[in-house]
Amino acid sequence: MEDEKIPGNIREKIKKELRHGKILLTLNTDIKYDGSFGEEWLIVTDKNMLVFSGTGQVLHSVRLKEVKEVEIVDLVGSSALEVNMGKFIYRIILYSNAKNSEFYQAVEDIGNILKGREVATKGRLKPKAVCEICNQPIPEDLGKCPKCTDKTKTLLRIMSFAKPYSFTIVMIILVMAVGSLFGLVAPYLTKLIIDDILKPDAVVKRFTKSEWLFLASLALFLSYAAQQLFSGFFLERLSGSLGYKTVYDVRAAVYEKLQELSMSYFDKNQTGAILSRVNQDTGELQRFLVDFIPITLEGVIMFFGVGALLIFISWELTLYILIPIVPTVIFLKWIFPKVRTYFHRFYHKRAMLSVLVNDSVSGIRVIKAFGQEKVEIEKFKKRSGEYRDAGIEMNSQWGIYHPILHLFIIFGSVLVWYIGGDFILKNRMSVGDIVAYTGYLAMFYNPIRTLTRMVEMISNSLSAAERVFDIVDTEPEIKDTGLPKEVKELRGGIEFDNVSFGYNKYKPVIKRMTLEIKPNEMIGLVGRSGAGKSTMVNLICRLYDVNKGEIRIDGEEIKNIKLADLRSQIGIVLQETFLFNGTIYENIAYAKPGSTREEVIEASIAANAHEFILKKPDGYDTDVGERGNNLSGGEKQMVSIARAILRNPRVLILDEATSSVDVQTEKKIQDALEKLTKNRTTIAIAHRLSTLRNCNRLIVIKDGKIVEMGTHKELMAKKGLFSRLIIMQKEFSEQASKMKAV
Amino acid sequence: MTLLDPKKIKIEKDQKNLLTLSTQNGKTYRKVNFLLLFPFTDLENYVSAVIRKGSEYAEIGIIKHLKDLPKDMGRYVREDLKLRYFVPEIRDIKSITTRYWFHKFDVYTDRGEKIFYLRNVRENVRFKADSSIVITDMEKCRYKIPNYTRLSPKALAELDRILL
Repeated sequence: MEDEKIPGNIREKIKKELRHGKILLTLNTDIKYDGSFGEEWLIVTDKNMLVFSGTGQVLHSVRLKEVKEVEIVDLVGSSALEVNMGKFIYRIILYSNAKNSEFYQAVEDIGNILKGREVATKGRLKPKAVCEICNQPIPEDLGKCPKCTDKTKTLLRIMSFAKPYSFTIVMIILVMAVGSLFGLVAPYLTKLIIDDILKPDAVVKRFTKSEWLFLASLALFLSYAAQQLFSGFFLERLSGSLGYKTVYDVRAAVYEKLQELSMSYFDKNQTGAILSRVNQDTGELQRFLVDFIPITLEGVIMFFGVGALLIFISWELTLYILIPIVPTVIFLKWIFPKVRTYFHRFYHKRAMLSVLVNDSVSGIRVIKAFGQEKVEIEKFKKRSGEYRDAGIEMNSQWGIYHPILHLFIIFGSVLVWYIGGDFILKNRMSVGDIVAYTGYLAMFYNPIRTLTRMVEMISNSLSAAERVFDIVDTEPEIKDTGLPKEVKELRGGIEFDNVSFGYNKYKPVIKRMTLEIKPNEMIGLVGRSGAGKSTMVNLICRLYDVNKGEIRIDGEEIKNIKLADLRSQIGIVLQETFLFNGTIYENIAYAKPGSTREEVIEASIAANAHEFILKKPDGYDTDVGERGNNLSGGEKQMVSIARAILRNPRVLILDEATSSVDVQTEKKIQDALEKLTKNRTTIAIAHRLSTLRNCNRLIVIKDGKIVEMGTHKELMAKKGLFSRLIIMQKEFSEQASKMKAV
Repeated sequence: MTLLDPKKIKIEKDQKNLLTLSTQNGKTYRKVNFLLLFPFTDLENYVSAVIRKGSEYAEIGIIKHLKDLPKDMGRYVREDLKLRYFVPEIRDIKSITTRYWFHKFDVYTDRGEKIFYLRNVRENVRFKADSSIVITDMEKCRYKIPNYTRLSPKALAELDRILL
C-alpha cells in the first residue's frame, strides 16, 4: 500500500520474504524491541503479519489465520502492539507516543483485515500533517509547523493589532524625530559658546559678550527643555497609549477566545500555563510595544542623525571613534549569553520561591495540623537562600562585565581627546568642536548598546507573541454546525447510539454504549469511580464531542442542535460546587441573567436554602468569599440547587450532589432535589446508592460499558454487580455504626 | 505489604519471552509484569510484581531491592521495566539550537541518540526538588535528566542557556 516509504535496502529483503501475498499495510516504529531508539517495520499482508528490524531481518512472523485479536497495551511514555493468538499473547512491536495515531489507526485496519473486510476509507484518523517546507511531521495540536513559522509574519501580526492606531504611530515617529533634533542642538550650542563667545578675541556684534552668553545659555536650556517635552512628555504619552491600547485589544481577543474554547483545550493545557499566557505573555508584548519599539526607533534615528553630524564636524576623527565600536559589539555579543544565564537563573529562583510561598499559604491548615511549621520554615530558608545567592551572583557577574563595557566606551572619548587634541594643536579643529564632538559621541554610543540587545529582545517578545496567538488561533472543537437547529423547548429524550469516547482519543473511556432515556425519566448512574459516569454527563452537555457513534436529543443529533439552546436547557448540580466571588444573590441569579428578586427567593425556598440565608446577618447580600469559602459545604450545595431550580432546565444532572454533607443537611437537600426533579429528565450520579431509590431506572457502568440496567428492585433480584455494591455498602455502614456505638 | 524474598523466589523467561514468577509459598504465576512504585525517583528499589486483569493489576508482591536478586533474574526484571517505562534518560547533550520559538535538542540518552524538539520551556519543563528535570517534547514524549548538576560542563552550559 505505502511501501514506497520503506528504505530501498530493506524493501529488497522484505520483497524476498514476501514472495506470495499482497502488502496491505506498512508502518514504521521509532523504538526497537529492546526499548532503544531505532526503526522497525510492521508489514501486514493478506496472509501474514511481520515485523522487520531496521536491517531487514524478520523479528516476528505470524499467520493472520491464527490471530484472534490485535490490541494496544499502554505503557509509560510508549505503547506496545500485542497479538492475541488464543493460547498466547505476543508483544510484537513497541512505539513511542509520537506514533500513537498511526498505530491506533493500524489496529483498526488490522481488525478489518482479520474479519476479511475492506480497510475502511471513511472515518480514518487524519494522517499527521507534514510541513511543506521542512518535510517534518507537524505536532497534532499545533496545526502549523513550528520550525518554519515565519518570524516576520508574527511581527506583522503584532503590528496589525496596532493598525487602528496608525495616526498615533505617525505622531510617535514625528515627535521622536523632533525630540532628537532638539537633542542635537545642545552640543552644537556649547560649541558656539566656547568658540565664539568665550574666545578672548571674539568679534562682538549687536550684544555684549555677557549678553551673548546669557542668550546662548537660555537657548541651551530651551533646547534641553524642548527635547524633554518631545522625547519625554509627548513620546511617553503617545507610545504608552499605543502600547496599552494594542495590548488591551490583544488581551480581549485572547480572553474572548478562551471563553469560546472547548473543555478539551483546558484538559490539554494546564491552568497555570493558560494564566501565564494571558498575563505574562501579553505583558511581554506590552513591554515590547511600550518600551522597546520606541527605544529602538530612537536608537536608529540617533545613530544615523548623530553619525552624520560627527562626520560633518570631522570625518577623520569619526574614523577613529569607530575603532572601539567593533570590540564593544563583539564583547556584548560574547557576554550577553553569559549574563543572561545569571539573569534567567535569578528569575527562575524567584519563581520557585513564590511557588513555595503560594503552596504553603494555601496549605496552611495542613501545615499547622501536622505541626510542620519548622520544616516549612527550613524549606523556605533554603529556597530563599538560593534566590539570594542567585541575586548576588547576578550582580557580581554584571559587576565584572559592566565596568569593562564602560571602559570600551570611555576609550572612545579618550581617543577623541587624544586625537582631537592633536588636531587642535595643529589648528585643524577648535576646542568647541571637540566639546561638541564628545557630547555627540555619548549619544552615538548609547544606541549601540540598545541595538545589540535588539535581537534577543525581539526573539523573546516574538515567542511570547506566538504563545498568545496560539490561543487566538485555536479553533474550538465544539461549535455550531453551519445551520444549527434551534430548539427552544427540549422534551428531554436522550439516546446514546453506539457511542465511543475518550479524553485522549486513543484511550476510550466510553465504549460502544447504547442507551435510551425517555423524557421526564429519572435515571441513576452507578459504578466505581473512573467507570465513565461523569464522562457520560459531559457528553450530554456536549462539553466534548463523541469519537464514534451518535448522541441524539429528542431524535436530533446533538451536534446539530444550537449549542446555546442545548446548554440553556441543561442544569447541573455538581459535587464540587463552584461559587464565584460575589453575594449569594449574585450566585443564584447567575443561572438566569435578568431574573427578579422574587424569582431568586422562590428558587431558594424551593432549594431549602432560604432558611440558612435568613440566619445570615447580611441575608442574600452575604459575600460567599473566594470560591464560596465563607459558606459550609451543605450551604454551597443548596445555593447551587437554587441556581439549578432558577434555571428551570429540561434536563437536570446531579453529579454526586449529596455527598460530603451531614445527615440533616442531606435530608434537606434530598427534599429539595425531589422537588427539582419533577417533570424533567434527570440523570443522577451517586456513590451512596440509597439516594437513588427514587430513580425510574438504574444503569450500572463498568469500564465504559453498561453492565446492568433496571429498577432498584430488578437489579437487587438479579444479584449482579449492583446488588453486590449495595450489600457492601450496607455492611460498611453497619460496621461504621457499630464502631460509633463502641 | 507482601514482600517477595529475593533469595526464595524464581523468575524465569519462557520460550515466548514472557516472565514466570514462582513465589516463596510455592505459587507460580505466568505472564508477570513488573511496575516501579517510584518510577521517577527510584528505578532500583520497590518493584511490584503484577498480573494484568483487563484494565487492572493484581499485585503478587513487592521486591524491595533489585540488587538482591540473582543476576539473571535481576536482568529479566530490569529488561521488563525498561520496556514498560519509556522515559529516556539524557546522559549528555550534543547541542541545543534555538530556532525562533522552539529548541532542538540533540542528545545522547540511555536508549541511544535522539533529536527532539521542545516547544516551550515554561510549560514543558518540570524541575523536581531532587535536581532532576523532566522535559516533554512536542510529540508528548518525556525525557528525564536524573540530576542536572552532574551533567558535563558543556551540556550544563547548553541547558543553562535555555532552561534557567
